[in-house]
Amino acid sequence: MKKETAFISFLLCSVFLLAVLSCGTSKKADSLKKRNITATIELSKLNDVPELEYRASKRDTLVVKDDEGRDFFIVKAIKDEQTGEMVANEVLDAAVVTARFRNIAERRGKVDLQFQILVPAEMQDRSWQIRFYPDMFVLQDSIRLEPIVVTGDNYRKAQLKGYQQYERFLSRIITDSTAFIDLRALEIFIKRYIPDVYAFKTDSTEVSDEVFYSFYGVSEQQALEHYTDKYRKRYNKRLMDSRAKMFRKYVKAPIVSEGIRLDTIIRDVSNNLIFNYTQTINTRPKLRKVDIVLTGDIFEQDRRIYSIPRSEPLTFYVSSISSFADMTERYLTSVIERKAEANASYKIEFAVGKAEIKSDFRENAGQIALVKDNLNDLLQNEGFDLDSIVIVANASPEGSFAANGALSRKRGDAVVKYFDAYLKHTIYELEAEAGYSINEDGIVTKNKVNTPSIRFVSRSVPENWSALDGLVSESPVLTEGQKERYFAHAGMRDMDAREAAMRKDDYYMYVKDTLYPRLRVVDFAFHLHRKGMIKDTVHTTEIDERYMEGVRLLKDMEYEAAAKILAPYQDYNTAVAYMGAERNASAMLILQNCERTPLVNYLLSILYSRNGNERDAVQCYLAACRADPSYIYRGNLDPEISVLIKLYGLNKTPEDDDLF
Amino acid sequence: MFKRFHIRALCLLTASLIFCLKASAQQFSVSTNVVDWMAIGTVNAEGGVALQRHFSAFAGFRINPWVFRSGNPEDRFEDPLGDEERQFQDKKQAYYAGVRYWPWYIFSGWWVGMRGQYMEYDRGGFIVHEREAGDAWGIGLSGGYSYMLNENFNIDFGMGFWGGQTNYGTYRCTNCGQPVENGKKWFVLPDYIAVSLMYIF
Repeated sequence: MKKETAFISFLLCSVFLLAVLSCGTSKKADSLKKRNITATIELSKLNDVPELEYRASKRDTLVVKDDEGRDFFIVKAIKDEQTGEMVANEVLDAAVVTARFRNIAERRGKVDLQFQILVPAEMQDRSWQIRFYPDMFVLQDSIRLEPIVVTGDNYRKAQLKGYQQYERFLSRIITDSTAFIDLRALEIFIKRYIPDVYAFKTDSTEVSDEVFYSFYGVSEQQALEHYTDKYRKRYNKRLMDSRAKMFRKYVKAPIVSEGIRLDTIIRDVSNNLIFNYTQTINTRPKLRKVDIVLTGDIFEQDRRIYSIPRSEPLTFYVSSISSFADMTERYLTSVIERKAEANASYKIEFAVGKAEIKSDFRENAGQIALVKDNLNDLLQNEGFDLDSIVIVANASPEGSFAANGALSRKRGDAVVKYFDAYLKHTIYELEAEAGYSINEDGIVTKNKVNTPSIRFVSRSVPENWSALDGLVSESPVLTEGQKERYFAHAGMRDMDAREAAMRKDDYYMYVKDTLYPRLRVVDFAFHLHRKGMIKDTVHTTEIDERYMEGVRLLKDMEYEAAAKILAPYQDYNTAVAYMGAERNASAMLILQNCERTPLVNYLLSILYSRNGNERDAVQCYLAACRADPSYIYRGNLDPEISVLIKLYGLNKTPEDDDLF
Repeated sequence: MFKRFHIRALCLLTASLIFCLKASAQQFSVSTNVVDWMAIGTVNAEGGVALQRHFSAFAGFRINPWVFRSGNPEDRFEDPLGDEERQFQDKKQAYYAGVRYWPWYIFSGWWVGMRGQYMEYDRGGFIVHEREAGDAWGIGLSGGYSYMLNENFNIDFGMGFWGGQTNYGTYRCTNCGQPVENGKKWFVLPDYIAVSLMYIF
């Protein structure tokens, strides 16, 4: 009797204990629900460009030139908590980031989103599994990132037990299909009764589909079926077919290993857990902003016991090198060829009323020598091809128009005669220089000289009034009044009357003595061109589609492809493409030859920063900011610049900071 | 009488086997039952020929000519008629022929068989001193399994019953001719148990 009561009380105790244990976790879940406990996501404290920070800390003072060329010093600075002054600081401590947004830089078409998931201790239980689903909102899309799973060790034990049971079930399944065939008996049978098939067994040269039969018409296939254990085979198939059902039966909450970022097992539930999550995404055009939102579930085996409320979004602002692309349309250039003219004009002057060429008159000696040089070049065909030699002979207005006409014709003829004689003489000399040849038979032949035939085109102008008009209007000696009076006669048709009218005026003596002699000339105009063609670049109105395709690729952050297309142009956009593709040296070469606009300065600053040349980087950045203050804000978006801004406390207004 | 019949039967069997050799290979079998040999040296042999995929015909003999006597003079029956030595025997000569049905294929796997059998016998002395001798005719039913050892050899397991009529006589002692009773009777008896070595050719 005593024993019985003891047993019953033991039984009751165990039932009670079991009940208490089983409702422990559900109570905890209820408490989570009541208090609306949630996991949080935060920006990680990692630096975007850790290697930059490391490198930057080596130097603490920079000497930079401002736009007037004065040196000034920049030191690593930090604001003093008490005084509010900026003071130099050797080491920068990582601050606790509480902001809900961060600026991140696109590089090579990719951005890294880094954030932390914080799991409070009260959300953890050894028999629970917490599944976190980070969702990313990009432009209009929402993308579920790979979940993070936190599994309690008891939860995992229960999972593994299910797997073991399933494993035992699987071990009963025979996977080798020949296991059901009595191969020994089959072989003997074939050997004995279908020997033709058996002969093929070792024949590797040909696989025949021919069917052989035993003496009484049994095929190999029939024999195979006979020696197959049909019952065992059927039973095994039933086992195979029930695998999915048995898996569901034994493994209620399968262990998922694919498509999740992390599955961590926890034993100790007293600490908050922090997971650093980095997601690299390919950027796309117009991508400026990425939001991350966290949701989640808590499971006890296959039962969901709590849904973690949606977190506040974390926002990443994306800055991209491609935003520097210059979208200005570029037009095709084409190269055309033309003749290079090498025209020359010479003047041979004459005395009043005379038509003889006097080499000692005024500047004639030098001019005649130059004409002769030109003619020599032409004769020897050096450098020039002749189009024409135009001789325009003139006379001054004194005397009658008709007489002057005759005089200027005479002057033209005289010049032609003079230089014709010169040419004949020169050709004779050239032929003499070429000499004679005597062949083997003793016959003497004159060596040929190829001389171009040079013809003079002679024109004459009786009185060169237009030239006189030009000389008068440009004369520094004549007064405005005198010039006005001279041009008052310009409308007269009768040139002799015009000359007579001028005689009465006070400027006539000056015109007659100083300007008239310059009209008694023969103008030599050599119309020549250099041998061969020269090439000219012409800008057309046709848009350069290939270039624009390169710019479009650049806008779409396809830097490598853009760089490939833009490479031949070696212009600003080429440099931006190179920067995007991290081909910094090539980009630098181009930009250094570009006009130093604020934008170019800014890009150079990024490149210098990438190279570790902080002095030039800061100098270029400050130059850009001075010319265009919008770069003050842009600087924070590019990690290469923002590290410098932080390190040297750049962009402080003078009120903020006495150092600047 | 014994010997003449014996030789005739053997000749007949051999002739029929040689005749059949002309047909295709793996159509014939000869076998001998190991159990019979062990059961006090029964000489036995059987030949078979395939008729069709499922049927084979067979014929054979079992001959036991031996009489076992104890050499010990103490070992005598308390026979009121004389000082008879103790002896036992299971002398027989049996000739049979029949068909086997092979559900799968001749000379492999399971089979059932039916036979007609003639047997002369003279046995006794195993438990009691009496012996029975006679001529029996009957039909036998049997079944078994033929296990293929290799291309040419089988081990054939089998057992059979047979029933029929016997013209018999019983005698008071194993080596005397003093009749107790004689006549005709119907019988059903176990025929044989076989573990045979079978050669297929």
